[in-house]
Amino acid sequence: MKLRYENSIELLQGTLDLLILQTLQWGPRHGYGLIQAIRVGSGEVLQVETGSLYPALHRLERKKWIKSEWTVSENNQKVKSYKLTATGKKQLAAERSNWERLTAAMAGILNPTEGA
Amino acid sequence: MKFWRQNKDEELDAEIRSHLDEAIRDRLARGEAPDEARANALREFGNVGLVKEVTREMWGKAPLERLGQDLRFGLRMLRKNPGFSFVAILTLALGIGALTAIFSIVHTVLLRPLPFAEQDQLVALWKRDLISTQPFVELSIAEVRDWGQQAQTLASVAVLPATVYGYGYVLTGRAEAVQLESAKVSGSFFSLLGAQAAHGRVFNESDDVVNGAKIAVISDRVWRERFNADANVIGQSVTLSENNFTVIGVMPAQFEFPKGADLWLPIKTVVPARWAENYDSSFLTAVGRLKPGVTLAQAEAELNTIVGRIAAAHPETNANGHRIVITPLASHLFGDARPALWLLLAATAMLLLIATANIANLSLARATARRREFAVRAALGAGRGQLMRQLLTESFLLALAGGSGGVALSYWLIKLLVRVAPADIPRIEEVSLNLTVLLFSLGVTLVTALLCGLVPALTASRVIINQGLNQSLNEGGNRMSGGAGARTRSALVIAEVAVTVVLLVGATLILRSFVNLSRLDLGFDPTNTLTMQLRLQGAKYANKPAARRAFFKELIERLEAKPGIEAASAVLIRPLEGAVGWDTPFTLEGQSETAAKQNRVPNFEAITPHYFRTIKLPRTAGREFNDFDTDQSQPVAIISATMAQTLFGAGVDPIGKRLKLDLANESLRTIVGVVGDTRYRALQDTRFDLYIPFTQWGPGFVNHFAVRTARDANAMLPLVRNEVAALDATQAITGVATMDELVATHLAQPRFSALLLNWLSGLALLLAAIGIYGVLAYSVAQRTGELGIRRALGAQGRDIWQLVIGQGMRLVLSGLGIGLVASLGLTQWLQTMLFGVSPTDALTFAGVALLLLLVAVLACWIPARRATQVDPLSALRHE
Repeated sequence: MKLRYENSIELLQGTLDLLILQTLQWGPRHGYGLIQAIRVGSGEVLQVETGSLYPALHRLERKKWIKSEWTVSENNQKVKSYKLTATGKKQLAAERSNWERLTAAMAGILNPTEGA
Repeated sequence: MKFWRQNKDEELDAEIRSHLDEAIRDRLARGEAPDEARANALREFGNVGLVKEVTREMWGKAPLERLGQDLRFGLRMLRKNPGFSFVAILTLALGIGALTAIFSIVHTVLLRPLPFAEQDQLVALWKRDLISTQPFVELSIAEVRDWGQQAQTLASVAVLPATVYGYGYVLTGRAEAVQLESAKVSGSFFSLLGAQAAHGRVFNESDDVVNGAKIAVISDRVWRERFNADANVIGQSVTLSENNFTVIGVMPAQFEFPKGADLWLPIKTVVPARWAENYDSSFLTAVGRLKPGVTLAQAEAELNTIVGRIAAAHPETNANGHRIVITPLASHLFGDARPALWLLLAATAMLLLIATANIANLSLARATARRREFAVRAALGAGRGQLMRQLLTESFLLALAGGSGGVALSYWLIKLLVRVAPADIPRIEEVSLNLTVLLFSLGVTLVTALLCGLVPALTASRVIINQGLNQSLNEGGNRMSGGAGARTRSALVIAEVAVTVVLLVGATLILRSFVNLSRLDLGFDPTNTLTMQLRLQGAKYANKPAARRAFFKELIERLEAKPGIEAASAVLIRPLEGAVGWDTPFTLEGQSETAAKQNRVPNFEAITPHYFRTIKLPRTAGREFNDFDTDQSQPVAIISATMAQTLFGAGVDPIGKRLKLDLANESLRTIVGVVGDTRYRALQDTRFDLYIPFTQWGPGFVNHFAVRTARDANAMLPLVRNEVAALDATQAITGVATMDELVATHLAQPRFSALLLNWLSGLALLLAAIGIYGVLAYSVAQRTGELGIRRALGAQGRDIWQLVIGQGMRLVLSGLGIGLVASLGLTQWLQTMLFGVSPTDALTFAGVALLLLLVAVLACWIPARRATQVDPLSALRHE
């Protein structure tokens, strides 16, 4: 399997994509909800800007990895929420696997074992 | 498009608004004051306008907007590279223009050559004899009538003469009397063909009865020349060979079937009654119309059964060996032209393919040069599809420009081609750019665009996306020179070379055939021979064979007395007049009828005594005809050498032997001389030839007159005209041509094919050379660094040469190999067009290979030189 080294800008994009897909795995959310979920889930470390999130959401929707739908929230408000598609699930698995390989590789460099 | 955007904008607004509402609600729930909550929420959100902007960019464009953008960008790109654009558009215009021109000829000439209704169902019918191996057996009225009645596969059938020459009627009573050639046909003739009269009516089956009224349909030419295009000719009575006929119709100008016919007559009204019933009175051929859905094979099978039945029922016809021959009428009439035209079409298509490959290569190189641009666009989010679309749009623009240029070019090309094309290609005058041709041109343009654009689009976009921004941005992006890009370019060049080889082989074979044909020994000497049609007209000759003979005798005597004229004579049909002639079966004295059936049928000519001197046909035995051979003296004949040898054996003297011709009023003729073989009717075949004196030829018609001159034949024409006029001022000389010109006419088609094909293959060779050069030059430029290193490490100029030329020749040899193998298979299709050279002629193949290798080496020269001139230092710095 060929690892695709995307350029620096896209690396960030890829990470955000992974976060969104992973979060949506637990159920559909709207934009505001996603930001909160990621913030909370990362222990207040990752605060995603709307300027990054919304383009990412629209892009992921174009790639058909997520699907949007106008529903009614608990507060009886109309919200546009996003849901993971079947293709999106597959993509999520692929990206996770990529990520794990990457982190393992990084660990290998940063914490060299004897004889390396 | 606007609505699409508007909707999405509104939706985005709503989405952001609902985000803000949620955020505000949360803050309110945490206890913030409403104003604070709103302000904080907005602040946290960020610049709403900016967020909307960046989000909108993710939408991409509406398809039409995208197309517009692609087109604008494409145009800008093409303008920025005028050199490339110009070369590409010009090449495409030439290729598409040539293909369109040839196709328009093919379309008019081959795809709808006959002015008849539903010509696909029309067939020509005759018989062949398996026993005597005679390929053309004439038919009788009775037999064809039976076919019409018994055949389920035929809708209708009609007889027509096998040749119109020699069955003339003399029209008298209006201005000068003149000889008209007639076509005696069945009543069903016109309805079968679906032909209508331009004026009056045509005759039908009810008119075609024994002892029926004598009626005639005349041709447009006769109507104009003899009747002043007077519409009142309908219903008028005219005198044809002292019989009264009523003119009932005039045919349109385009109706020329059979070729040369001036009149059409219902056959049963103008032949003896017993000929209509007699199965043995065979002197005709036939046309038929198949029922819809019937195949040739079905009709052939059924007709063979019927032929067999008739042969059994009428043993006097000795028809046991007869089989039907059935061919589509179009290919029967115009068979010769077809293969050549299809060949030209195929060759032109191949040339276009080569041109396309060159342009694809060029585009690929340019796409490589633009990799930085693509890389940046990819980084900004362009997908592979988008890049491909961009490149394809550019190639479509190129192709469209090339295509329009091509159509304009084809207009002129068509005019040129029609002018140089041999005259016997049917309906060549009608060739023009019509809707079908334009549609074809459009289709070709689109396909070319796809081919030109797809290759670079696929390769470039894939490599770009895979490589990533960093590498693409660097100058040393050598990944494009090796790897996928170079492989494709090499493949294209190999393909180009292979196709060029096929073209070259085909063209060379055709050229050699033409050369062989033009060097043929005709048997007679065509130089300094003036020929013409001289049909006697006037009351004094009408139906008076004696008067005609006297005229020619006098004319010949007067002409031969003149300085500058060596000999003169009259003949029934001059040599190389075309595929027309009298095939006259004969029986040797003492030969049984069955044995006679096996005799090869000779070409028959009636001649005046000095004919052989006139055309310089050598005599090998016996004597010529002379003035003592008259209608009162012993009937004599002269035959050709091979005929004598075949009939009597090698050492046997044929002089004195006798034979009887299968014609009316004939008795045994004594052979008094033998002359050399000739190629009388066409360059490609020799037949038995049989000559009898004009004075002993009952009907007494001759059509042609020939004069051998001491020098320039054409210069003698005024002299001949004067002498003819002096004898009788009312006579007309037409169809003047020197024998050399007649030969040239027969060579016209092979010459045309050879010329065009060699032009095409020459162009192809040039394009292939350019292709090879291009690939090598590019490769050398890319490998500057590597070459510098090699130099620095001690490589000599010679080594560099070998490297570069080796690279080039590897490509060429692969292409050559593929091309030669393909040629071995493909040239089989040329079989019918070749003369004197086989489709797998080793000399040709070897010659082509040599030529290609030579040109290839030349093409590799400059890049190789440049490679040796690489300065190691600067190259390494470059790297």
